[in-house]
Amino acid sequence: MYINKMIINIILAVIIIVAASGCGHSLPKEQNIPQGFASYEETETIRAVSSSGVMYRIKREKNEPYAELAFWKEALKKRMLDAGYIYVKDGDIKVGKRSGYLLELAAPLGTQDFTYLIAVCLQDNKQLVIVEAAGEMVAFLEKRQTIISTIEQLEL
Amino acid sequence: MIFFRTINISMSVLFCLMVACSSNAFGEEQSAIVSRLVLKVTDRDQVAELIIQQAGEVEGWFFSRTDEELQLKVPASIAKSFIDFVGQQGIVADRSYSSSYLGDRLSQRLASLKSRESLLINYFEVLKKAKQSSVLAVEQEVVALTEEIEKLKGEIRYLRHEIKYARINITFQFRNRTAPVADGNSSFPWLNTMNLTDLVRDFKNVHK
Repeated sequence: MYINKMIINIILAVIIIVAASGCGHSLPKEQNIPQGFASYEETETIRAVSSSGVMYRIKREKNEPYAELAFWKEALKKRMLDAGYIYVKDGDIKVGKRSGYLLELAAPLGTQDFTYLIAVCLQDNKQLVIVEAAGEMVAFLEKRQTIISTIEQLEL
Repeated sequence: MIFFRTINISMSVLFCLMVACSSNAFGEEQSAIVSRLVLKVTDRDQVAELIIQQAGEVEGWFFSRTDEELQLKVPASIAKSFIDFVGQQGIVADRSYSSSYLGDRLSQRLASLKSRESLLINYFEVLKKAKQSSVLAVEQEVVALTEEIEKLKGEIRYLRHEIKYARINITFQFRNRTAPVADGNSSFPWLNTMNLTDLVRDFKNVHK
């Protein structure tokens, strides 16, 4: 009788622990966040922000319609420039171990001018991993290299 | 026969190359340079002072200054190195450089001036011999021609000035403050989610 009660208690405890760990969100991997950034709890999206207000976000989108990276490079650049962003620079980048594309843009936002950086790569051809970073231009420049280094070492 | 034809062709090619080279060099010297930069800096006043000081050192000057903008003239011969100097003072968010050839306009004005001046000399000769009845008519022509000559001289001075000095326009923020559109018009759904405004909003809403 006592043993049965104990087993039930243990099972309940295990269920509670498992449920608790499943419901809550953990912090993202340290290497996926730029140094000096504070991260939010990880959901489907990873978010982090610096003390100077530079934002950093990683999200995933379905690779639909299916296309190679070369296609998305052109499509992304065209879409952003058509929308009115100012082109700063672009080029290839390693996103972790994957080949990716980096696009840097600028745009006015309210009274400030912002840099908007987008890195994109394909994961298993099914998903697109998109890293975005943005901040007031001068503040962004201070964090730019840290952000690029983090993108290059992403663990997907 | 073929030998002479070959020499002729070679001479023609050489002549064309020489013309191209000389017109190129001429074009460089007779062009008006205008450069625009959007420069992001932490301290606008400090950077503006530094740029003005540097302009003074190269015999340039500023002709307009506000909190948002600085307009300068610097000798065209050092325009490129001056623009590089400006670029080193902050982050260049946007830049443009244009060079418009003014040589034709200047040559045309100079030719017009020369012909008007010789015409004026002729008028003075006519005036000396003119009868009393025609003096007034000749004088009116002289006055009109003198006005025309002064106008041409003014235009020539302006063109020479534009050629001699490059115009550098520095703004410390984008002049066009229109934020990019987030119209969702792309045929590819994920591209419609790429938007600076939404990114900023996402971070503001993350606690809600």
